[in-house]
Amino acid sequence: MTILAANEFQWDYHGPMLWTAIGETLQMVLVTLVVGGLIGLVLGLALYGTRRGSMFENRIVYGVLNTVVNIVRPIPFIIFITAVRPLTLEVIGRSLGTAAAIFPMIIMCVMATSRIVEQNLVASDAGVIEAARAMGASRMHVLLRVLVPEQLAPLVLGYAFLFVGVLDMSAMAGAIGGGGLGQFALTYGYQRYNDYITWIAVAVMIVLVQVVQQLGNWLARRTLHR
Amino acid sequence: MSATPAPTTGAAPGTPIIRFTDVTKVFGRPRRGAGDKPSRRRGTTVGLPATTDGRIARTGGVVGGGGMGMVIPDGPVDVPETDPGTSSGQVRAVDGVTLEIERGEVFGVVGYSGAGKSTLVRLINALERADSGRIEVDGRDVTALGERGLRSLRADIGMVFQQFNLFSARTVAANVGYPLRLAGWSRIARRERVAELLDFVGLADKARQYPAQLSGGQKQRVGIARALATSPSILLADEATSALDPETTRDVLDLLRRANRELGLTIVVITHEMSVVQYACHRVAVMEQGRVVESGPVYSVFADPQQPATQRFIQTALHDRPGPDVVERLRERHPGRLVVVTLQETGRSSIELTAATRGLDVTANVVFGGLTEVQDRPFGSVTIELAGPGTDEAVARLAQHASITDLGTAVAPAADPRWEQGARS
Repeated sequence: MTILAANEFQWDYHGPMLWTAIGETLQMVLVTLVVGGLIGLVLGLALYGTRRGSMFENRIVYGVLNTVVNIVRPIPFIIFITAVRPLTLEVIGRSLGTAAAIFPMIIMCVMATSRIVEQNLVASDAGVIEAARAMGASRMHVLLRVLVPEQLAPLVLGYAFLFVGVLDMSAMAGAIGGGGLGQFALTYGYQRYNDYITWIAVAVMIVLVQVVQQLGNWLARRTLHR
Repeated sequence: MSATPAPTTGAAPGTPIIRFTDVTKVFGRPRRGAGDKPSRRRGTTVGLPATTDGRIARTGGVVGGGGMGMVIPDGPVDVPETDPGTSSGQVRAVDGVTLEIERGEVFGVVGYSGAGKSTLVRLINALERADSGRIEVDGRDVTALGERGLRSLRADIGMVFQQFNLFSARTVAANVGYPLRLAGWSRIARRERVAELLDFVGLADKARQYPAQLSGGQKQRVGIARALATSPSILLADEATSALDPETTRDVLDLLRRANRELGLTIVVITHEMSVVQYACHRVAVMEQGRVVESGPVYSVFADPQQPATQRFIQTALHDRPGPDVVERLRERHPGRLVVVTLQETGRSSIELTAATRGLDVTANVVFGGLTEVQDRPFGSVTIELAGPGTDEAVARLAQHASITDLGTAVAPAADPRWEQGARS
């Protein structure tokens, strides 16, 4: 007789699926971080630049951007995925699968990144801005070529922090057939009472986070000259 | 460093390179898009009562302009037309200033925190925009310049800061090369110029280091090299030595003097230390509550200060005249007649006491004083105690040869008129 195979990891059965899941997770996370991170950087610069007292102070632009970010950010990601489904269908062409999961992930990542960029730039030294302006640098030059390099170390750490958030989001991609470690853990672990699978998925995620955080710390150290 | 003689004046006098005409800058006025420097915007945007002449009412109390904004008590000041204070949060950081700075001179602006001197200097390179009045720099009307015009103006005005404001993510060489990059210099030309500048400030060996690896004095040298990179004709030094110890301060001031002498640079030195003015400047303006209350050649301002604020500043540099409490202590030990004898600019380099006492039955003891150099000329005063029957005659003779202040005796004391004026410090 066969008992439901609880708490075991069968290499020939689970192994290939685990590899596929890791691949899907990395794909979702990296695409999201690169695309969302870049757009988020631009949005963050816009937020910082148009803030009250900042170089491009503009109450209307800041008000709009700030409100949009504030509206999107608190929505639980699992709800957000389903809420933007029509838009996903429009942009990606499908509402299921890995690509369909990446779209809402990018939007959420843009919002989170923009806040991290804004916060880090707000913390920059006003004296440095003044010095660059006194030398005749344009406002855009100060923003892109002075402030971003000056705040590079905290920005790098911010992106490492984002990685964890994006990894978290990717786990929920399973809800719309996005695959990845989250779906693997839920489908073959939780739903089949196989805790081993869940724990293995968790362990892989922990390792991923550790590696990325170490990488971030190392990069930040390299760029921090204080 | 040795006290090498300061240049009297580097270039032909009488040719102003910077001219302020009735310039006023008010903080806290509702205003849009004028400032590009968020850190210095302060105060709240509240409506403000205008005086009858249409100008903004003066604010007593907190005066902006320096780093912190300091409370300056309203008191008996003989500053002309001191408007009554308001409680609107408005601050006239610069209040109707008219001033000329000549080409090739080192011009000092001295005042307490919040006197408006930092704002004044920032009006020169338009980091702050004036609310009214006219500012000309090298023939250009700064108040009329747009963003693009400002950038070319600023390329001709170097600036150094109290906190150095170096780019921490760039090496020393990249910091110094930054204004050259802005000016579009090629990499090779930049490298050559940076090497030259670092050599000038004595930091050739630090090119590849980061600012965090340098001492305060070294950082300021980098700041000066950076400010001099594009060979500006004006250098603004905003409390450039205030974060440095006395010895390093001397080094940095020597460097500024050398830049003035060798490069013909016009330097505007903002400071709250009169000793900096004494050592490095040709002329000085004293600021108080946004106004220039006194200005002139450093020696004559030191020799004959008109305003209480000026007198207080000079005392912080010299400590040569005894204050009321010091005199009180002196009288306990010296019951005779106390006379402050000032060494004035009369061609002599000493205070001759023998001539005043020769042939008289009088004893003269030096009980207090301080002599130093201002603009490389001896300056200061000594307080002497005269006792004996010939005292009156000795005082009369002294008065003929020098400027004296008679403090009287313990029995019949007299006050130094400067105490009265300086009392509110």
